Amino acid sequence: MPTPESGLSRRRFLARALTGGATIAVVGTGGLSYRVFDTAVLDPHHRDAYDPWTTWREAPGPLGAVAAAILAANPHNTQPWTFRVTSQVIDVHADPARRVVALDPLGRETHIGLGCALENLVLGAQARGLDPTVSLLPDGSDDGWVASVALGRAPAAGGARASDLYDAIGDRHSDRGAYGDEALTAQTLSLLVDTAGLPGVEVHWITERPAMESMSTLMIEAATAVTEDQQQSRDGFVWFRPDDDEIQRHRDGLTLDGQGMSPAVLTIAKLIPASSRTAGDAFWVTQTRNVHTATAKAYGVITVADAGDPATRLTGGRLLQRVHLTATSHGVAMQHMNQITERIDRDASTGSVDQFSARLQALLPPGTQPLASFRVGHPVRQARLSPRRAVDEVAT
Amino acid sequence: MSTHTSRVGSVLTITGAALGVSTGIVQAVFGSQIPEWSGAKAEPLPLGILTIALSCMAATAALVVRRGANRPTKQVAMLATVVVVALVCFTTVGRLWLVPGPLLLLGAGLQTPTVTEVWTVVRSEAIPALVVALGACELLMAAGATPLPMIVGGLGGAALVTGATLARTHPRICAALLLAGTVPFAVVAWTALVPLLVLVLVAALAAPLLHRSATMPG
Repeated sequence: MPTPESGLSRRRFLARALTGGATIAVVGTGGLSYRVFDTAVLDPHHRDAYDPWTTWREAPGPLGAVAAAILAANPHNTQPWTFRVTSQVIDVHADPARRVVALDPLGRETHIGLGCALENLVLGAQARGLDPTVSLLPDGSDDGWVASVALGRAPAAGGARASDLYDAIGDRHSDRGAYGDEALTAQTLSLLVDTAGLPGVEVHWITERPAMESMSTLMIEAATAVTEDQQQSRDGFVWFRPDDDEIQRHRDGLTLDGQGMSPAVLTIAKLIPASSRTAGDAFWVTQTRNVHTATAKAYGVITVADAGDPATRLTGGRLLQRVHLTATSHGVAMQHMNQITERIDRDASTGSVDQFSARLQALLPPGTQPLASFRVGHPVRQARLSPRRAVDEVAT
Repeated sequence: MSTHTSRVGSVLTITGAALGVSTGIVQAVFGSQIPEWSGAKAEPLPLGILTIALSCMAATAALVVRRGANRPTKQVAMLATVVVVALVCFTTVGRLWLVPGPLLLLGAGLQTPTVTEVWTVVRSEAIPALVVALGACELLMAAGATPLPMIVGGLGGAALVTGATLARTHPRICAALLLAGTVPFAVVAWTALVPLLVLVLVAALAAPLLHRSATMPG
């Protein structure tokens, strides 16, 4: 039986142990609280880097059209564009410093992203009573000046034309989350494609189960190959922004918020220390296997006659953006998935054996080449915004 | 610790706090123009204002100690405030803090009572100090939140700090403040998960905190 002294001692020991444990718990809570602050868990979209999504309708004239253009889809959210703006014309240039070299060795994705911006630019100009006329590669070369958009004055009868596609610009986001079980009908898919004014580009839908499975396999294998290619992995990771300071400083790149995770998983991902490149790669491959391909309801592939032609790529980019805006206006989710073409271009640029071209080509109509691919489905949750540089950072 | 040493420490602390206010003003006004000195912060204005507020806190604490804090608990609490401010502001104004920060730390060090006295205070005031720390956690989370959780968390954090200091004299008010300081924030900010953890920890600490008030002389 314990003596009063030993009982007291035990009680004191217990009290000290509990106080010590509580201290450790509070210190840990302090660290987690800092992560809540640092990764903006409680205010993910309310700061400067996301302002372009709420202010894009406000500016009039050509700069307003640029405000719409900078919200376009683009590779790894590098925003590879600059604009030279006058009252009569907007010139669109590629920004070579923003090319993800190993992932886009032939400039395919840069051109597609610029084409996406061009489509938004046209819609933004029309909504402001302007009559845009697009000239691709105005000086006839691929030196970075990719388009010139002449801004006439729209006839008074036509006036400003704010179309459904224009209205969808601020709601369009790449949805990397799971998609719902409901199938997409052929009629819905056909509604998403309008190639008017965009010669030489088409969308090929992959909806049948065997072809879907083949495409999913290619997607997973390509994602794995990208992560196993050290240079591609490193070049992609450079554009990952792990915390709010980085997001606000760069206003570009990929973020945790954009990965389509559930709210609880997203919070946990933000609370734990920033992931390493290899951990991020593993997460992406797992998501590709278990979420992206597993819940896709259809794959779309932009097909062209010559995927190496810059003008065709720009036009394909315009179609890709138009499909995404139409999907948004119809409540259909979409995610750009270009790892297969990234591997095809990488193999071509390094002289390696092409692992993917023939297998992807087998899923496409004869005589066409794949330019870009994506998946569609019904959204489970609202896709989150991506950071954007302001108009005055990209327009002169 | 000699009186002379303590006086030197006091002067250093107050000088450091005054310089801290100046650096806060520089950060708020010129922070974006001198990123290499101001830490290249995305939002220099609010961080400058925060630095000014924290430096004022440090100055107030230094003055309380200088006028002769009559209880070791109060003295240690005030000096701990100076140290926390000195450390936190290294993250708010970048290199601009390279002078005020060390001055505050050195000044606090020169005024610190003996290790035995500090240990005695830490042992006797550990529970309220932990609740105050949780209040600070809530304030930190609220600082980066949207308006509703920012207001609720700001008030909640203040309630926790106040509640911890009132535990001995006003246990019922303390209990009410602990409740009001945690539950509303946990409700409006549950998606961040950590507010729920703060709620659980405060609930666990509430019993010994209030028991302490019933057993210790006022």
